Amino acid sequence: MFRSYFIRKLKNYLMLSLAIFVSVLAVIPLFSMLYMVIVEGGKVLLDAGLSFITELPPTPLSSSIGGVAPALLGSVLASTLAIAISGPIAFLVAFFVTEFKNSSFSKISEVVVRSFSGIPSIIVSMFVYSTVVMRMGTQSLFAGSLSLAIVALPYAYVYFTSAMKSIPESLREAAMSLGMSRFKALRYVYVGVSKKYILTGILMSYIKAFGETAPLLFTMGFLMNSVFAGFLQPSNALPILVFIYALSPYEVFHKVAWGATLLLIIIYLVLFSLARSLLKGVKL
Amino acid sequence: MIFFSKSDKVTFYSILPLVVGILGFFLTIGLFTAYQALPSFMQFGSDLLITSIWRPADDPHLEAYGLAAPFIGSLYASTLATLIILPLSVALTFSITEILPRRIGGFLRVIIEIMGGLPTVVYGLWGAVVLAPYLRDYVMKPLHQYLGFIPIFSCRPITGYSVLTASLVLAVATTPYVTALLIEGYNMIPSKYKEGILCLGATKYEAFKLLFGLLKPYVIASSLLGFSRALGETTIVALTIGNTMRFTLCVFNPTHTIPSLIASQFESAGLYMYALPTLFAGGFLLLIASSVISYVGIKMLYAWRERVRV
Amino acid sequence: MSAYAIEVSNLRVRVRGLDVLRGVDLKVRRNTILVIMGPSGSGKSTLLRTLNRLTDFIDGINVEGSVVVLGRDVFTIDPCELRRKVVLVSQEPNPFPHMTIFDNVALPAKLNGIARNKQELYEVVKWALEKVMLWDEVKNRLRDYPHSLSGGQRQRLCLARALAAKPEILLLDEPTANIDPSNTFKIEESLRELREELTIVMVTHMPHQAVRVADHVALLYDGIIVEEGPAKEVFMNPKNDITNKFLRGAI
Repeated sequence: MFRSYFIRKLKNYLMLSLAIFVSVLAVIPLFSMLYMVIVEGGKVLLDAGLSFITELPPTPLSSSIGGVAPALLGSVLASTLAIAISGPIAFLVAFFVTEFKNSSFSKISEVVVRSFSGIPSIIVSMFVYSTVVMRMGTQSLFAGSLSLAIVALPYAYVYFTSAMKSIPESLREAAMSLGMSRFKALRYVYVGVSKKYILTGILMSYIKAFGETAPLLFTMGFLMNSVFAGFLQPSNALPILVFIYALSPYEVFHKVAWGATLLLIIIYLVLFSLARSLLKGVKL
Repeated sequence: MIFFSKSDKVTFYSILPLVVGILGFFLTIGLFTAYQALPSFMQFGSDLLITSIWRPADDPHLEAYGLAAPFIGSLYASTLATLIILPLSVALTFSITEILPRRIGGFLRVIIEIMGGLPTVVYGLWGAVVLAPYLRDYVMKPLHQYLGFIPIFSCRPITGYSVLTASLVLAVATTPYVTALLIEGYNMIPSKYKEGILCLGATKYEAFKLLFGLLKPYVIASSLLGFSRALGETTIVALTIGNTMRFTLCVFNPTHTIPSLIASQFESAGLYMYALPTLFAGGFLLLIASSVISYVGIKMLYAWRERVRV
Repeated sequence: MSAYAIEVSNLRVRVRGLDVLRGVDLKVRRNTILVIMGPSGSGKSTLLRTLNRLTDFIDGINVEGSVVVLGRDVFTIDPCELRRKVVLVSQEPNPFPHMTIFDNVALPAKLNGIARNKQELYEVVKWALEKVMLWDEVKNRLRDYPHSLSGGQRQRLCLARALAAKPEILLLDEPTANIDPSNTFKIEESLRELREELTIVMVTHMPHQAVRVADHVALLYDGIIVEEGPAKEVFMNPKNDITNKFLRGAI
């Protein structure tokens, strides 16, 4: 009896330690990544200074690092446009699915839209390339935004459905029992009650769009000789700049890739903590 | 639908076209991919699935393509990744929900969330620059030297860009997603079970093991969703797998996955008659595989949630 | 115009195969207070919610029978229109947390077109808050949010919100169940006064509350009304054995 208890205890401690050890192992890569990016990218950013975000990328053999202005601007514009397109659609679909949950359309949409978040984004890139880019004759900021919008839609949808579900049943009843239609309830009550969740959803989808590489690969273009060429002209984005420069053989491109990665991570962390601090303030 | 008020009906029918439109649009993407792939399927037939060759040529008669290598590569890397994800995410779930004090557990959760949203290109870069050479020198070489008689360790590691590296980075990048699902599921287990088990004097580990047993279908579903994610991931794989058209089961070899093949060949594929349709064919296969797996996974999650709620 | 504000006959409600109401007949005169008593699970809340079709939101519900409210069949008129005239106050206080005290009360008045300008709106809000004896407590902080109020004050705010819709019928689902005696007293006092202007149906599981406010009472037990009549008669001399037991607290 005593011995078996001892063995159980021992096993417990062993397993607990193992779990913690494996957990630490799982998060070490983050710190390794941060270390790598801060060391390598930090040098580049310090070296280039503010001009890193205002200058054009260097030529392969140039000695100065230049900057990533087209990619930074392209990323900001494309993600904004993508969320502007997919946000309202995702919101309306989420509202429809949660409010009319007994309709078979809702049941189908719920599963299909959620499944779509698992679809390879490279296929979206191919699709937009063949339909939009081929027709317009050029890769463009517009095509890239469209591609991002398609990829971000299911994410925004997931966030917005949880926003709608965060509304307490008692407040739904309050709205309904005052004779509000569902649309009025949405306008006067639901949006107000869940606005922090909605904002978080928008922000998180924006972050998602900002960090995506594959959807932009064939659609966005790779603008290097000017900061902005127009909405229907090629542009650039930080993730694809990192991806393409990392695979290139030139030393100076590698440096720019490091700097751009650090920039990407800084932007990501700032937006992420903004989203978190928003949610922290949620109380009903 | 007698339960609708008139204004609700108006709302319903005004949003319905949008909902149907979105469903139709998703379907269109699938059909379009299939349509674009058609010439390649017609030209190469089953060779597309059983051979591994990428030979573009100006003369269409000389073109030859087979996607067996990248297709197997996709399945192989995703399977390996899932096998790594499982212990990682289970350990994280255990640590966060049961072992660690609330504040440290919460901190770990934030770290996991940060990792979950980190742009994949950062993972890819890390995999290519840090992990690949490290794995080659400290893991692959010893494994090959001492366990080289096992077929999956039989090839000589050269660059470090390999199935193993890609799977590992995929696993690290996908673990946060699967962990989030598992924690969500674990917290859905009614607390009465937990109290009951702890009342019986079970140790933390025994309690977790028992409760986690209840979660089995949910764990399978989460693994399927993680697998499907890994299957579609492009950036990480393209930067770490070595991008070589070669069929291999040895984990130290470079190879291709469907997404990495598309990423590396798409730009030039337009120059040849069958290259682009072949990439679409790969895309179509991938799309079918990942949507079926996602669908099954999500259905399983829902079924489990329904069951646990009652 | 019928003398009755509500006429229910042979109402049967099933929820997912379970009988909740098994043939209820009920008439409520205009400008009276009917209190429906009964133990928990007797179907009181469901009965109340069929009167303004809040039952629409219950999954797997099946309603049969006739419910005529203000002379119209509730199943043929638009439910939103119905609910604007027949407003329900829930058991748990549920003011809108994102709106100020003023806006909470003003919203239904705005939606129902009760007030056309700011001055009128202010008047309606003041009137409603006075009716529930909350005006003096909140008049200096109308711009505050409801979470600054006590539970009882919040419930009175919800009552005021319901009144600002200018309903013809007020439905109350155990409005004082979670509230301290002084707030309960204020609510009961308001209800006695409000009877002059509208018809009230209230549900409670506490007999003494019924004694204090009811004109008429009905006892619902296991989906059937076992006894109804003028409050005094029923309390002084209950005819039904179940009523007797309920009033003595034996059920």
